[in-house]
Amino acid sequence: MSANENRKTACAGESCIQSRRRFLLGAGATLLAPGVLLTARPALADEAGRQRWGLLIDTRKCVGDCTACVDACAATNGLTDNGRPATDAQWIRKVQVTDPGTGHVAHMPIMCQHCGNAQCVEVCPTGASLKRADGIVLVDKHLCIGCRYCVMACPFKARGFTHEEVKEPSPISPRGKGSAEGCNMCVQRISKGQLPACVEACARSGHEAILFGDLNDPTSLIAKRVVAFGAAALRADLRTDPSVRYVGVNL
Amino acid sequence: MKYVTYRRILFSRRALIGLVICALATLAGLLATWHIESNGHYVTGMSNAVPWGLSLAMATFCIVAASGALNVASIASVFGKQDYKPFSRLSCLLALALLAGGLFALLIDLGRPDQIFTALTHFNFTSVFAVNILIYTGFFIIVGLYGIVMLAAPQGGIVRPFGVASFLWRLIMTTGTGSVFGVLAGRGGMHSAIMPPLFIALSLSLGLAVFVLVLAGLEYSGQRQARLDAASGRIRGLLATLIAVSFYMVLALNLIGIASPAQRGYEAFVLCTGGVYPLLFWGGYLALGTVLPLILLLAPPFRGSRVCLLLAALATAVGGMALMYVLTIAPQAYPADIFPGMLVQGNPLYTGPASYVPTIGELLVGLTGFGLAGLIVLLAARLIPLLPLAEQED
Repeated sequence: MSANENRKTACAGESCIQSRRRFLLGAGATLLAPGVLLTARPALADEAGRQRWGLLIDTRKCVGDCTACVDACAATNGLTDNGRPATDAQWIRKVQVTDPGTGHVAHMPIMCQHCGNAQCVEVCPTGASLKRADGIVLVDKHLCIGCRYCVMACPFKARGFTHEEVKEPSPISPRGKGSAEGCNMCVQRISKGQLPACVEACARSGHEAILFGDLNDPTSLIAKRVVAFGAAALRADLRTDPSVRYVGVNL
Repeated sequence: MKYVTYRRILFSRRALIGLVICALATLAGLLATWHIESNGHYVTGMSNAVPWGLSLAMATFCIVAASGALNVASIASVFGKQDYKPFSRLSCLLALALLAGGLFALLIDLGRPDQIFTALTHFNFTSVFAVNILIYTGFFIIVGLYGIVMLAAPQGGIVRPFGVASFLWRLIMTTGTGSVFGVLAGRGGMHSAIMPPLFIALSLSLGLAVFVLVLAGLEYSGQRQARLDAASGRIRGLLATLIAVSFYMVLALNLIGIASPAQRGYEAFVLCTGGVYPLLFWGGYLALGTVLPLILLLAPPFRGSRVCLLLAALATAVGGMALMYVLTIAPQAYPADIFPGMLVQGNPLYTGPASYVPTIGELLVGLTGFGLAGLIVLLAARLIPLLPLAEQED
C-alpha cells in the first residue's frame, strides 16, 4: 500500500491503530525506495492545499462517561487542570445533547471546527489566527496580542485564552500566558505521520468514534462516510464550513 | 466683528486636586495591570466564556465618547453655529484625550500589551479591529491638525475644511467601533447592522454629556471664564435631542431582535431573565440614562437650572456606561446556541448563562482611560490657551 493510499484511510473500518500501523509501514516503504532519510516519515500535512484535514465524529459510538479524547488532548498539549474550570484550558469539551421532541440522546466532543470560513481568522487584527492551506486553523503565538476577539467570534466557543502561566509546557504544542489558543488538530503529530491524539485515544478506548482524514479526497474513508451518513456540521446556517462533521445527531 | 480670546487655566487648589485624582486613577490602573499581567487573567472575573470584561466596556465608552466630544467643535465649524465656537478648542482636545485614554485602557487590557508593536506592524484587513487601528491613528492626525489650525488661525476660513474632515472621520471612527460589536455572526446580540449607527448616536449623546461635565469641572476648579451658562440653553436642547436619538436606536436594536425568532432568546435574556443585565438596561440605561435626563432637561421646573443640566449630563454618562456594559457582556454571558432547539448538558460553557463578576482590578484598568484623559486635558489646558474669555467687539 502506498503512502498516498494510506492518507485516504487514516482511520479505517477495523481499528484506527491498525490503520496507523499500515500507514507507517507504507510511509517507510516509500521512503526506503529512494534510499534517503531512512528514519523520517513523510508529512501527512503539506501546505500546498492538496488536503483538507478533517474529523468525522460518530455520536452513535461516543460514550457519555468516556473522556479519553479530552484526557489525551490535555496530556499531549500540556493543558494543566488548575482547578479553575472557567479559565482552565480545555480544547475538547464533551457534551450531551438531547432532542426534546424525540428524547434521542447523543454524546459528542466539541473542539475547534477548523472552519473553511473561520470567523476567528477573519477578525484577528494581526493575522495570528490563521488557516493553513490544508485546512488546519491555529494561532501563531508570536503574533497574538491577546485581544481575545477570536474567542468572541468563534460561534462554537472552541477558542480559548491562556489565563495563566503554562506550568507543564508540551514540547510539541507551544502555549503562552496571555495568548489565544485552541485545538490545532495536533498539527505537529500529523506532520510526523501520526494521528491526532484524540483520534488515537478514542480508538484505543475501543470506541472509534472519531475518524481523521482528508475531506478533499473523494476516495478517502472520511469523505466517503461524510457522504454516506450525511454527516452534519454544527450551525451549518452560519456557513462557516467546518472541517469537523458529526453523525448520528439531528443538528 | 466679535472675536473670542482664550486663556490657559491656572492650577488652583481644586485643579491640583483634580490632577492628583486623575494621576492616582492612572497609577492605580497601571498597578492593577501589573497584577493581572504578572498572574494572568484568571485573577479577573473574565473567563473563556466571557473574554471581554468591564475594562473593555469602559475603554469602549471612552472611545465612543471621544467621537462625541467633538460635537461642539463640529457644530461650530461645520454647521456654522457661532454660539459653540468658543468651546471648539476644548472640544477638540477632549476628543483627543478621551481617545488616547480609551486606547490606553484597551492596550493594558490585552493579554499581551508588550505585543503593541506587532499590532502596529501586522495588519489583517479582514479584521475590523485592524482597520480601526488605522482609523484611530487617522483621528489623532486629522483632529490634531484641526486643533492646530484652530490655534494658529482662529478666524481663518481654513478651519472649516479641517472641521469637515474631522466630522466625517469621527463618523467613520464610530462606525468602526460599532462594527466590532456588530459583525459576530455566531453570537446573539453582536450581529446587527444597526450597531454602527447606534454607536454613532450614543457617541453624540455621551460625548456631549462628558463635554458638559468636563467644562463644569474646569469651571469648578476656578476657571470661571469657561462660561458654560452662556451656552447652556442650546446645549440643553441639543443634549435632549441626542439622548432621544440614542434611545430610538436602542429601541430599534431590541425591536429587530424581538422580531427575529433566532434572536428572541437573547432578547428575553437581556430584557427579562438575565439578572443583572435587565437591571442595568431598564434601571441603568433607560430610567437613569434616558428618562431622568430628559425630564431634567425638558421639564419646565428644571429647564433653567445649571445643577439640573449637570445632573442630566452625569445621568446620561452613567446610563450610557450601563448600556455599554450590557452591550459588551450580555452577549457573552448568554449561552452559545450551538444546538438550536436541543437540551445541552455536560459542560458549563454550553449549558447555561455564564457568570461574570468584575473585579476591582478590572475597574481600575478601565478607570485608567478616564484618569489619563483627565490628565491630558488638565495639563494641555494649562499649557495651551483653550478656555474662552468673554467675547469682545473688534
